[in-house]
Amino acid sequence: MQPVAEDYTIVIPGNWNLAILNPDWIARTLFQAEGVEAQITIVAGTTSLRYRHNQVIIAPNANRVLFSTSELSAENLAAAEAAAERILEQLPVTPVSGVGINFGYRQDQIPENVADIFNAADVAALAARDLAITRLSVTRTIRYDERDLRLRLTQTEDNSLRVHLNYHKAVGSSEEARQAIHQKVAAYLAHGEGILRDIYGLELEADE
Amino acid sequence: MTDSKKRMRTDDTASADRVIDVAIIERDESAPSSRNPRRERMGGEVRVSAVATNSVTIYYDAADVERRKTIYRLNRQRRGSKE
Repeated sequence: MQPVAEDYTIVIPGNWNLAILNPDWIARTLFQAEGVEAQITIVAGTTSLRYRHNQVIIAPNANRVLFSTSELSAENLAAAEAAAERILEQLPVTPVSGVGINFGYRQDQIPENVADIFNAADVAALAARDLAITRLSVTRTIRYDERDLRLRLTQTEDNSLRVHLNYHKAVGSSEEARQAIHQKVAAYLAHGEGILRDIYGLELEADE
Repeated sequence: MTDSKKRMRTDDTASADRVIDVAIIERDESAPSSRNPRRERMGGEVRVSAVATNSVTIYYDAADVERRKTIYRLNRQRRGSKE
């Protein structure tokens, strides 16, 4: 199982003021730096801006702010967590409605025990009618640490495995959101990978 | 907690079809008018324009197709206006 860096995110939905979240403010207030790198992202034909300082990326939108890292490491994840906390501290009256701490993985071969999970009662019946399933997901919503852990296993079109962990918490204020993030990323990473290892036999591959 | 909050998705990924590095240049108070913005070629395919309005506009020129498209307008506080 290999980690997917783009899936390691902190997501804070809310009504964000993009006039505040400009490059100057992000550089000086959020990253306490002289400047930030800017990037244009194109997703399904839609463009948006995101900013990077060192290895931490912030993608501000009007309805959510997303933090990620360009290179996975404990240090970078901690820096992303700190930046997410800082934006909530600096903009305490922003209406925010939730927090998501996310991790993602892929594995080329689907282990037999996980394949059994995908082999639901309707699979054979659909195949008998010549209806091919091209993508199959199973999601478990688990209560953990006063929030929902949404664990999603997906069998992709090329018959590989994708795993997504979404630690989701609904919040009513910036301070509540900050507390929901504080010192959680590393803890949830260890928790989530423990579940994948102990329940599904999915372990991180050693670096080559 | 409302039902809408319970249903709120927070599982976004940072993946993108394409990522282009750009540079944001400081707005120049003495720059030409917005009809004739100052441009700089960045990375061979992205131009960033500082215009003499209270905004920064980024123009994107696709490498293979010479098309110019304003893709983002960022309102910025007029420098020094509240200082």
